[in-house]
Amino acid sequence: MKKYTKDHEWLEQVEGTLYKVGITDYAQDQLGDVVMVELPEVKIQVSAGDNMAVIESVKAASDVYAPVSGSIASVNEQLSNDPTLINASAEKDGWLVEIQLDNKSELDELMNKASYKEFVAKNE
Amino acid sequence: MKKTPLHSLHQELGGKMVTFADYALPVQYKSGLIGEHLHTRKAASLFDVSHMGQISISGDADQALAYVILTDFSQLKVGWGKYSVITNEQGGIVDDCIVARDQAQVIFIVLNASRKEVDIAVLQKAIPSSCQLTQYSNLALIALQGPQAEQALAHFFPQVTGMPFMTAIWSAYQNHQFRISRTGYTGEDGFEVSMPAEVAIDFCKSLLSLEGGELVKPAGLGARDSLRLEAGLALYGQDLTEQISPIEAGLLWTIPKNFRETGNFCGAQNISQQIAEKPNKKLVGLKPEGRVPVRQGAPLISSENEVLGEVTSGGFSPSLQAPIAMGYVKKGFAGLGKQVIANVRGKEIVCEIVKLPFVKHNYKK
Repeated sequence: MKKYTKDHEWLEQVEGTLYKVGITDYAQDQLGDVVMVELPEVKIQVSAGDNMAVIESVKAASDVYAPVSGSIASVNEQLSNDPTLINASAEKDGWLVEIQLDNKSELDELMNKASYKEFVAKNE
Repeated sequence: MKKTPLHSLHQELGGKMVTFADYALPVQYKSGLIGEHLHTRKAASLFDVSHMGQISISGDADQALAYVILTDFSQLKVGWGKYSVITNEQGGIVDDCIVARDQAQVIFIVLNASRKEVDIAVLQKAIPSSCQLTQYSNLALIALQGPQAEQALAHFFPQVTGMPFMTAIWSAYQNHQFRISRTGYTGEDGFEVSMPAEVAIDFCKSLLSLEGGELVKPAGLGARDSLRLEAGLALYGQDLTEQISPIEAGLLWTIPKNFRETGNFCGAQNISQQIAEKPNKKLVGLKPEGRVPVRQGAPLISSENEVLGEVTSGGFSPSLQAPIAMGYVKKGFAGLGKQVIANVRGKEIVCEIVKLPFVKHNYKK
């Protein structure tokens, strides 16, 4: 079950403290066609709120923030061949990184799907 | 915020509306920017450009107009148009526009939306009181651009087949007067069509429904911008401003040779000086290394950290699958093949100065 942030990112447990992270379908729609993605180095440490990645769309460059603190376990190599995966499948094949969480309780701050949907509707 | 005559059609087609020059216009539709861009280069796209200014000046205005719009009107024949610039006394560009002679004593001009009020004031002041300036706020304007634009438009106006580039005609369709010019802002063959506001939606729907909707597709401002950038065409407000001269902007070719000799036009002093001594900066094409787009406002520096200029337009080229940009670079550093460094969010991206256009033009010359 995915968790969502106010910056329109999602997290999904892979196994234990290993979580997959991406941007939501709403976010990709707002960005427009993605032309390239700058992903972090594997093994670096991030704190919640740090700049983690940059998504360049036809319109502008957008920062993606680390939703939780942890270390980058892997990045989606497919995105360098096909950045448009983020548009086509933001919440599945267009995942950005996998993070090894430092502190599972940080997940409690995040929204579930229903609250995220409400959050988006309220801010339209 | 103003609406164009096609506003409800944009909503029906799922257009993502933004504000541009005070008008509500679609930045893209459902296909997305890249899809719309690529469709234009291989088939035909329909753009709503009704926000632009459409005016005519009637009477004996040639001489007066030639002072502010750098075109030799005495050489402009009926049915023909020309790309030109309106200048100020300092030799800066007030606007770029297409002027055309619709009748012996009627000049039709299409102006940029963000500048139309300024332009109209300049032109009104320049023409003698015996002449009349009319603004057509009841005319919609669309651009139909792409290699199949002629085929599409010929369904309604067979005479556009073989119509020469830069000519314009008025023609009746279903009892309404349409103005068609073989002009555009994408580098492709295409047309710009004016029609009464009340028939615009129906006419556009007819174009969009040709060949089951596969021939002509709607395209928004986003694709319009990426197409013109690939074509190396300047955008007023970014690449052209009142502080930039036509010489700096690479538009010397728009100034008739005899004008350059007599120097009898608005801003001639500075412009003639720049022609003689070469301008202090010039507009160049830039090809950034890698995939990161280099956008408007990015400073351009040398490897010794000297400021050389700045990027005025930039983005990602769907046709080339790479970033492209245009900007101003200081004299002495602006030669083809030279390198400049763009500062993008703290990162240094090397750019090569390249010839414009990035994608070759396909005008029906």
